Amino acid sequence: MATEEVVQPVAEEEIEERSTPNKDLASAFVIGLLSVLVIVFSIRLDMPGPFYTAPGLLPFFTGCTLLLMAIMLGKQAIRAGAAVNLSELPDDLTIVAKQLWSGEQDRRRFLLMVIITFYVLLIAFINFNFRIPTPLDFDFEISSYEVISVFVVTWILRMFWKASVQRCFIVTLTTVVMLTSIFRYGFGILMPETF
Amino acid sequence: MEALVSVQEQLLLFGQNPWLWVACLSGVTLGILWGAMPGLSTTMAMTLLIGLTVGMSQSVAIMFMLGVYTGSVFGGAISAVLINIPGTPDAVPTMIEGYALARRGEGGLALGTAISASFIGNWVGIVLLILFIPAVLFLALQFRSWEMFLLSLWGIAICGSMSSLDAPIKGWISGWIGLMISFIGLDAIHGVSRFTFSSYNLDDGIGFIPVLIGLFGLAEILRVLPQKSPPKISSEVGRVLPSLDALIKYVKPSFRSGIIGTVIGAIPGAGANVASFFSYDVGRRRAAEEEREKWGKGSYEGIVCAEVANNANVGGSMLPTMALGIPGNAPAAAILAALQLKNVVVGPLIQVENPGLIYFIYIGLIIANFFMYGMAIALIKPCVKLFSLPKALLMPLILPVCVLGAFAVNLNFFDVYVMLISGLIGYVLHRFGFPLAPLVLAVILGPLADENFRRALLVFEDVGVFNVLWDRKLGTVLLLVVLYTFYDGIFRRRGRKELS
Repeated sequence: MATEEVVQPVAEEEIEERSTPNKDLASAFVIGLLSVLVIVFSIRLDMPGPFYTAPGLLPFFTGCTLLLMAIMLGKQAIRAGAAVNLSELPDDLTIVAKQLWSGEQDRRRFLLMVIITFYVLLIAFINFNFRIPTPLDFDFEISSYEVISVFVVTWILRMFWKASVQRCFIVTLTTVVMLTSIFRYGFGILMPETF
Repeated sequence: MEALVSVQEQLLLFGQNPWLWVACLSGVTLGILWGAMPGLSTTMAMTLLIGLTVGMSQSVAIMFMLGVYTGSVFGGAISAVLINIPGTPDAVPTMIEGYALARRGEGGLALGTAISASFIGNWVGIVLLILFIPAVLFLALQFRSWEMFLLSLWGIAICGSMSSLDAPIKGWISGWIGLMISFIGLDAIHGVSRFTFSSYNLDDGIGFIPVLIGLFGLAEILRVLPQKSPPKISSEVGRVLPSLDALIKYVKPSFRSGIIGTVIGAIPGAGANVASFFSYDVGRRRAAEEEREKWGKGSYEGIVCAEVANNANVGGSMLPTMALGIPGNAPAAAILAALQLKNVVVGPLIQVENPGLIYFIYIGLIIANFFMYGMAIALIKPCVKLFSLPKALLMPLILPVCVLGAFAVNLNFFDVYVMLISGLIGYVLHRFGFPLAPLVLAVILGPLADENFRRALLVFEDVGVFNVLWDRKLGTVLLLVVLYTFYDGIFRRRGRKELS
């Protein structure tokens, strides 16, 4: 019965992605490396006062316990059936990476990540701001943030929503202008890179 | 007497400042609309709307965020009942019962029951918050550096356990990664640069608001947008408000679910999701034979159990947030972020440092609850139209909000980079089955844990371990609680897993 299936308390966040032993082993490997780096960097930190107040003290303990957790996660993964042979680990990591980006959905997601990164970089590096006087005794402002947002979000909408370019453009333009107007005129917040 | 004067002062403040009411109403409205849209969670609403509070005064910002919180927790029920898609994860039990009723043409009544149950749930949460916060505050005032460190550590550990029930170790790893992020920047005691790699931007540390927006906003866009799941809309709403007799019938499950929701809300990491499922399960076991038959096929009592619990969770999560400075769940962490943005430091000394704030929040929650009830009824029909919009349209439009939200806090573009990287990391962590709430909690609690840990060690420099354990009994109890949390996560759950 449906009730029986759902009466399992789930966590704060819905983790729909079920982890596989290979994925866990790969995670344990990466986290283990990260923890070793943290341990090394915390040992190298300056110690201006007594040992008890050393800036690297808690980071050091955190690194050590994280390493322990990574080992435990790795052990659990191996017990659950992940590959044990260390020489096969690079191949396993490759398989995990391939699993993550194999489907069409994942390729679209990867493209989305690239577009979003491109969007953030564009806002950071292109910088202009126009003021258009209006009869209502205030200047309407258009900044690089709005222009870039309209073009990039229209592009994303076209890709995923699949409506006509004009429709995507009008929806994006309306939303971005409304949003920036609330922030700029309503709450007096400056737009990115316009000062 | 002092409390009464304080309440009077706060009431006067509400009488003099109409913007408080406007902000609360706007927050509730936005929250309901946001929560009603499938895939847009309460946490996402809270984190993205923090950016808007930058330009608001302290009290207006608090009212706005309380409104968003109250509204969005209920909002999830609307799409759950009408289109069988839970707006928020905690609305899943409501969806099971509500959608079954909606298919029988009782969708309006199912929604009305959800609205009334949410209203009752909020009241239970508020009353228990008012009753228990003085006791928790009294206890919190006994806390010194050692206890504060242990409390922060326990907060992260229990959040890790609760947010990753199958594999607590993954929750802890997520929390520990958050701790490491929190160590970046100038150290609070000596001013030594830690893990900054000579970057001036990193000297100030990593702000948790961009991290929060990245993890719950951008990561969600990356997760949801490429998926294909078009929702179908039910145009029939029907009668909405339940009769008084029907409500009286559910007094007992309401009271029980309210207590469950509040208690779970007070435990860091165990959010509305855990509360609604747990209460739903307990409700099913406790229901009369005849009523139990209806569970899963359209039970009003099931809706009451789930909705009362997830709304009582709001008040419950505010308990540790206000009294200890440790958020009860991810949306409460967003409230904490909004408060810190306004230079409000919550915790054991809240009554000293911000006299009257607690009463302000009590009144704010009560007002938000009334607004939620009114707006929920008014917004049912517009919501049906709004959430018929596909995710492929909604999600890209959230992207500029993420950028603006991250930027608006410090007007520093570096925060946008932090948001971007957090979003990418958050998505990868999600795919590898790591929960994100412990990471955010640890980024918030990390500096507190670090400073107090070193201070405590300095205080204990010439004191023996046994003396520390004997003299600091509260600390010893906390230490045992922390150890038990790890023991329970590692050994007891493994045993249970093997048994099952």
